Amino acid sequence: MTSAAELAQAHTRGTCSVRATLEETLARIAAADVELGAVAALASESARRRADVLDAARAHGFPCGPLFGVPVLLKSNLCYAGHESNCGSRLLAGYRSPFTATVVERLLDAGAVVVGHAHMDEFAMGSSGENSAYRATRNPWDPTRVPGGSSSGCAAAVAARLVPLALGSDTGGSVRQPAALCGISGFKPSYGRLSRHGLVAFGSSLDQVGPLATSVADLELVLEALSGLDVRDATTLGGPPITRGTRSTLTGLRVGVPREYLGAGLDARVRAVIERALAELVAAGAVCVPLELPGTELAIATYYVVATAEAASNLARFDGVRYGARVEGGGSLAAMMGATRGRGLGAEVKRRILLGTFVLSHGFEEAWYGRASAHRAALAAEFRSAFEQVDVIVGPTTPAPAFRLGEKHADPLAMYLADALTVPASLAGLPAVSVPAGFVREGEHDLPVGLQWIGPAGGDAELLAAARLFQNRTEHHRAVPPACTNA
Amino acid sequence: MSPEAPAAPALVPAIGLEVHCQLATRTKLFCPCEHRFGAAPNTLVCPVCLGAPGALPVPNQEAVRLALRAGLALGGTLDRASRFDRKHYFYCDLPKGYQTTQQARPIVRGGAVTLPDGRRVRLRRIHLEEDAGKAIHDRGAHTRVDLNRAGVPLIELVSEPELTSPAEARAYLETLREVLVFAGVSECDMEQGSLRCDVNVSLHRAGEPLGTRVELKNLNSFRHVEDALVYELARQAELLARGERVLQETRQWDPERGETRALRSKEDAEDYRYLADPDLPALVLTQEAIEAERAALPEPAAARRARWQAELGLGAYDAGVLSATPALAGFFEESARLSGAPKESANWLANDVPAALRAAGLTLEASRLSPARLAELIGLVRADTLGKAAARTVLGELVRGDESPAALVARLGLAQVGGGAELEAWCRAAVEANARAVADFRAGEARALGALIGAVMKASGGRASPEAVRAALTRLLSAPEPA
Amino acid sequence: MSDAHSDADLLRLRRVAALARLELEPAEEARLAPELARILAAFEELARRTPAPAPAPAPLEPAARTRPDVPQPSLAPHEFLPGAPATEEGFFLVPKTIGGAP
Repeated sequence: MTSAAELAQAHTRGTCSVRATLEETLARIAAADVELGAVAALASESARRRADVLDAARAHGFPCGPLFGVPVLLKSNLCYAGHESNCGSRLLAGYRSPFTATVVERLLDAGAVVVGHAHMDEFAMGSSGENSAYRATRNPWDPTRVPGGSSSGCAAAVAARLVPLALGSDTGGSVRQPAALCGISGFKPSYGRLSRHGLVAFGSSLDQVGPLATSVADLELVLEALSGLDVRDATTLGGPPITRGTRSTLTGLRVGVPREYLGAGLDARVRAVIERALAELVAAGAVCVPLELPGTELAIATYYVVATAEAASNLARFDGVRYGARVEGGGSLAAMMGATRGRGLGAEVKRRILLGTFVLSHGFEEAWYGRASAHRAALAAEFRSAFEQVDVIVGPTTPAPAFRLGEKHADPLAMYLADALTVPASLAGLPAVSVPAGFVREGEHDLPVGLQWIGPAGGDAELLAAARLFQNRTEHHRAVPPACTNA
Repeated sequence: MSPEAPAAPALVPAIGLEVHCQLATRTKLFCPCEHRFGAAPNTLVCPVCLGAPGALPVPNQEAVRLALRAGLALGGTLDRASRFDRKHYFYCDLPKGYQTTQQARPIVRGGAVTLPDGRRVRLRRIHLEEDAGKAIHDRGAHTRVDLNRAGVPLIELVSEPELTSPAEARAYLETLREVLVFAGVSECDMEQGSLRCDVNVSLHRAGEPLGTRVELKNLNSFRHVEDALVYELARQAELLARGERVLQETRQWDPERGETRALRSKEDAEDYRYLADPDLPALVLTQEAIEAERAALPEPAAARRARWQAELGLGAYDAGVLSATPALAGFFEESARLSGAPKESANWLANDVPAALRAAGLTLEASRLSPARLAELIGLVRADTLGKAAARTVLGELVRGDESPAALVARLGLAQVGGGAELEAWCRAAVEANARAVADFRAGEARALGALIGAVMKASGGRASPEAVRAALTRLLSAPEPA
Repeated sequence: MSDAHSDADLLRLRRVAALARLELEPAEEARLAPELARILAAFEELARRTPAPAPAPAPLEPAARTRPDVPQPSLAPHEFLPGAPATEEGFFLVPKTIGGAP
């Protein structure tokens, strides 16, 4: 399976047709996805029409965009007019958005072909894919294990080489963590870098659309195509369009390694993989700088207070009045709303709405949300100081490799604690990318381990450039799950 | 009560008003849907104001400008970095399950409304917020929801509880409305729903803290506000006189029965779980923007009236009539300027113009009359080219068509006759036809001249110049009687 | 956990669930009440360890972008009404009574 960049070039040159690529993609999905459970809904019809249009346009000499003919999977919380985007929830079963997300429009402008929507944890709340109301996606490296979440289907599909590119979303790690557990590359841009218009909101001050691919180079391609001011999202950053970072060597790169990221809770085998990766960086001429980020300890609690408060707010619109699956309930308006939400939303979503409602409720908002916001600002300041000494901050993306389906599900608190390494960058609005760093052996399976890179606010391009340089020195990203018959 | 006991200090009302006013923008506060009254249901909606998943708000810069303007017009203090907050509650006409408003940092704090009697009533705050949709309960077995109004930009103006009587509350509303209309902020039409008012009212004894306040809703006109307050103050006074307590509650005004009734109380109704809206960064007002708006602020109605009276010699009544709307005030000022005759302009606009418009079934805006044309007409009358009566006829044409006064005078042959053979002939004829009046005049009854003048005016179809007629008749009648 | 504790947890859960318009089955209540309590206790660490917030200045963010007051086409009713749970003559329909079960 070729990369998105290679595919786009092949299509542009005419070496193969967009339609042919699409048909191969659909065939691979048909063969593999019954077991894998990555794809929620295929857009075969519209994709085929589009593929034909693109092929014809090319034949007529129209310019081909940077993602020409590349098949892309969308997380089910990205709106694509006329197509079902149910956010992994029963409440939105059958929901078709009347408008298309800006990032999807830009994907299409770049020549991509959207092949469908992927399974996800309901409303992006979860780290395993098990919170989907429809299907718990499997990890292609070991089908008894989770792929991570909430962009579970996206990560699994790219890892299984069903599609070269997927567009997910990351609020507290939902692109990076599944990328790490599935052995691919996943990127969360700086907050405001990509438009959220058309991304169903979970934690508005944290959410970012994030691409998943088999190489950092592909992530850079997507970032260039999708970034830029959107007048329909008042939180997008202005400034000149993003182009590829200019960094050309790892020599002299100052790599910060926070003590807190290599702490006691880290799986020993993961630690070994990370240390080998750091050694690789040093061998390439980088300088490792030990860091202290004491704010990390309270980051999880801070994240969950902020994220659940915003989630409770953002999900208040799902009331059964204007769209979604209504349940009539006891006959009053309040009963209808209560029953619609009670029946239509899953356990994790309800848990977070309850938490979020509580932290904002009268008498508690200052103690909870106020403090969390203050700590968040302190964390951001801590990072800013750190970036005066270092160019990037690295560490493991997750404390352990993929766990088994059902293993963590009973203990929500344990699930939350596993996010400790990814939430700090979300809270501070910093760009962060996870790249494959190696494997640990678990019985008969190789389980991927991800190395997370965090950059300063706005430093997306240079961060990706550095990560790409590292990736080019290793072969981890070329490894393909054994079940895959198409390397 | 013992007659010897000292009378308790009188009960004093404390009234505060919360006025919601729709801003005169073309589009809604957070999306570019148009907003207008009377459209078919759910035809002015988009993903943003529908509360569709994935939609995001983007503030309307004109709404911010108008809110800023309201703040300047009312002398408030501007917050240069105000924020939006989400106010959460569930209702069928609230698409997002929260209203986007400004709670912690409103765009304006303070300010005041100066009543006609000179009293200043302080404002607490003015903030931007979006309107909800409409829930219609009185048709069929279900409630119908129309979201055309959802997202319409409002400012909420909250007064301090410093009003002390129903009449004063009414005066406050009328004055506030005039300020906002003249500042170009809003149409402020209660019938079309662009102005709504809730009232908070309590009674306390002078010198003591404020009493328990009651909120009154469903007040659809200034009259309702006044009437409801009269009723409610009496109700509360009666309760207190009986030694009972006033309950803190929300009551609905029933105009048909003339009473307020307690609304069913909703549990947890007050826990709005305010959250600073993460989709909307701070609304920054630059010094340039503020100064530009201050410079562009139209002259308030009260200031215009004062100026007209002081500089143009208008009376208070006429000043009041001419400042009924900004359009009329502007029309007057332009006519006065062009004609150089403010008092005549005032007179015409206060009396003859409304009559002509009524006869034609037109509003001033819809008519063809312009300040320039009116000024021209006034000029013709002042130059004695046109008599007043003839001028009214010309006016009747001016409101309907585009011909100039001069052209109309020529076409309709209305030029005033101020002398010449025609005038002589009319005068002689009148003298001959009205021997009695002539005799009376010659006998010393000066008033009899009036009848003769009237006869000449009639014969001339109003075209004779009254002064010239008077002079000619006087001359004719002063001549020695024929032997 | 003492009964008084769990009663308080249940009451708190019910109050919050009502605020959030989430109708819960008894089994859900039984599961969620202690879960909520445990998670909140874990997060209380945050309140203990951080100082009370100063009047927060707005965090690092751009000033709000505004848009010009120019109308854009609204959605046509057929783009969203057919997908709505209940409509009539262009209106959304909802149950009539306001009150009901908490």
